[in-house]
Amino acid sequence: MYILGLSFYYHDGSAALVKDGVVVAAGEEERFTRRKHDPGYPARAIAFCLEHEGITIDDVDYVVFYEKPFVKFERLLVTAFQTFPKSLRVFRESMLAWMQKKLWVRSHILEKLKIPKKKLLFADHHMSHAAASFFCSPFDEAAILTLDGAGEWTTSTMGHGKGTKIELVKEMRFPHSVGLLYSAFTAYCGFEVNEGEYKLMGMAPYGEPKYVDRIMQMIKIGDDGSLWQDMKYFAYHWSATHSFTPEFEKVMGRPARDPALEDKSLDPFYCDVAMSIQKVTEDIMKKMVDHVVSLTGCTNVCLAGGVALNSVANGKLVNETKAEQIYIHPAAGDDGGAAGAAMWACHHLLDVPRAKALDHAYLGSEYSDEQIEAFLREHGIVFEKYDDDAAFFERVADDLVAGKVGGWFRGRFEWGPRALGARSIIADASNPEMKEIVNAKIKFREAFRPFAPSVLQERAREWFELPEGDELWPARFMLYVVPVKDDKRDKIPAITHVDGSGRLQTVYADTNPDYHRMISTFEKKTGIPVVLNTSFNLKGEPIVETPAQAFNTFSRSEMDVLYLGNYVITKDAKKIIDSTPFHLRHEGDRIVEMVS
Amino acid sequence: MFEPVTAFLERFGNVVGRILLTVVYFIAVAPVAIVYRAVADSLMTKRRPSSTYRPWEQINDTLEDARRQD
Repeated sequence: MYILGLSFYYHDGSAALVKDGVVVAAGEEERFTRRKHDPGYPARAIAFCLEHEGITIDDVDYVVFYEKPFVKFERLLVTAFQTFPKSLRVFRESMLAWMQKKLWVRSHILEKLKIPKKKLLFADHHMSHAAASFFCSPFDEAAILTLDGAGEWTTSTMGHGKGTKIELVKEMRFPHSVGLLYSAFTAYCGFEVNEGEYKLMGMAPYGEPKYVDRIMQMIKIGDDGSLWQDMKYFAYHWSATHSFTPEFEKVMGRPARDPALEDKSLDPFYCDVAMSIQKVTEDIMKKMVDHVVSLTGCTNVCLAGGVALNSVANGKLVNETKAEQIYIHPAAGDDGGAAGAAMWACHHLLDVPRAKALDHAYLGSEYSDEQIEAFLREHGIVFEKYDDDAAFFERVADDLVAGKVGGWFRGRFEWGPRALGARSIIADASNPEMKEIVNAKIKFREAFRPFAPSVLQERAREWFELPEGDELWPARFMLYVVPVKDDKRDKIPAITHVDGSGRLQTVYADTNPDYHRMISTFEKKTGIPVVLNTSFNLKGEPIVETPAQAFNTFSRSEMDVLYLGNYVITKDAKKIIDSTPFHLRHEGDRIVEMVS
Repeated sequence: MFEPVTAFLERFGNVVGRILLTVVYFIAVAPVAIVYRAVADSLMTKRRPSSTYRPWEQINDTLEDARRQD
């Protein structure tokens, strides 16, 4: 049985194909259209999913949209009523978008896919999140916690999953939202909403949680982690452009930084604010996890929703709550909603038995050696080809030891926001200058942002402080930030953040054997089973999908070498292939887009 | 040849749409909103309960339910 899940017209349009309970193909539309966070109808992602399985849309049993559009529309109307007359602009802008596109989701899907009406289903937004995490998890029974900005009305749920069924028990509703609270502080600290949240998280360790009390003047946190926000301080429910009010700035004591100024300095005040909201978010999440464990009696916890991408908070949950094991879907945000919607229909509605857990994220497209070589020859690009894998991995390891930064393009691209060794930029983590080199010359991004380590799974506990007994599922998807062991910090300075932490990815020989083998070869030469890994893109660009995009990004940066499969291209071969689309997007979403 | 015309019509449509929606807001939304604001607190801006979690009430457990957009 094939089920196609879709998410679009909000954030990150995506498609995911589920076959008999297993996600067999998935991808975000941005990878194909080259427009970062492309919210549009995912025509190319759908085409990829079907092509990957060698089927047509007629072979698909159901198509499932990841939310209920009319419920969200009701929320927009009620919010406009409740905030009248301040809501004029947000009403006008959101209604325009809804009249033009969002109200017609059903007819758009039916028209584009040409499927019978009975094949089209609609899941609840947070049920899609819950299903993405629980049905892909290794747990037969688990507590479920979802957290994001906003779905239809819901901003968080607590529930229980067992076998093929999910029961959501409680929900928190808009405008009280952990995701939107974090985004308000993202905007206050001068970053773009729905884009700069990672930057805020990266900036936090440079500060102290000095302003928790000021934040607590604007919110209340219940014993169960529920959040109540005093909406006189927040504006995202009625403003098209602002997520907080002047009263918010008065409480915080300084005016907001303007994102347009691109102030990347580490102003101590805003670093302290970043650390304070991070601390508040962690406290909320810890209380929620403890409550959902008590509510369900399960110590296995499935987390989902955009807030579950807060890897710093995730890294503290096993040690500091009642949870013993945690699973987070690799695409925890709305992109993963596509997979969740399909999984929900497959298991919860149709009772298809569950299959093996999703233990990797390599669900995207791939290119064969023949395709890569054809591309290189067509464009007259000089290359070296290694027929022997061992010699190739030796070459890569030697390059890294020599201080080179490489673009690594191999196998199927990753599902979700993280590069996990299929479309990655790699470098020697032991080089103390590497962080600055990669940030400034290759990624062109803020100097304070940390890089992640890819570590051999079997060596991870020697290098990182990891909770005893934890099976480390989130670390497979780079969703855990944990301390680097004290005696190792000076050995891998390029991936050790200012507070001694690292956002590790554990690399398994059975799910990414080539990447594992390359790191093993590097370890034999250096004694270090860790490489620096960052996504293969420039700031504002979606992660590369094709060899041509990889080559262009390589050419536009100061990377030293490009590895396309077993083909090695050095910097002398750099040039731009004009026919390959390239678009940078540095702005985040407008507030009206974030909530509607 | 048609692209500039389409772009112009699209922009023109957006401007007209905004004007119409402004009219709708003050003519149709306003009376409902004034009454609604007086009697309802759907956003829980006035109340501060001990917990903002409430029971999950959505019913979407059958194929028939799932075919609905609401």
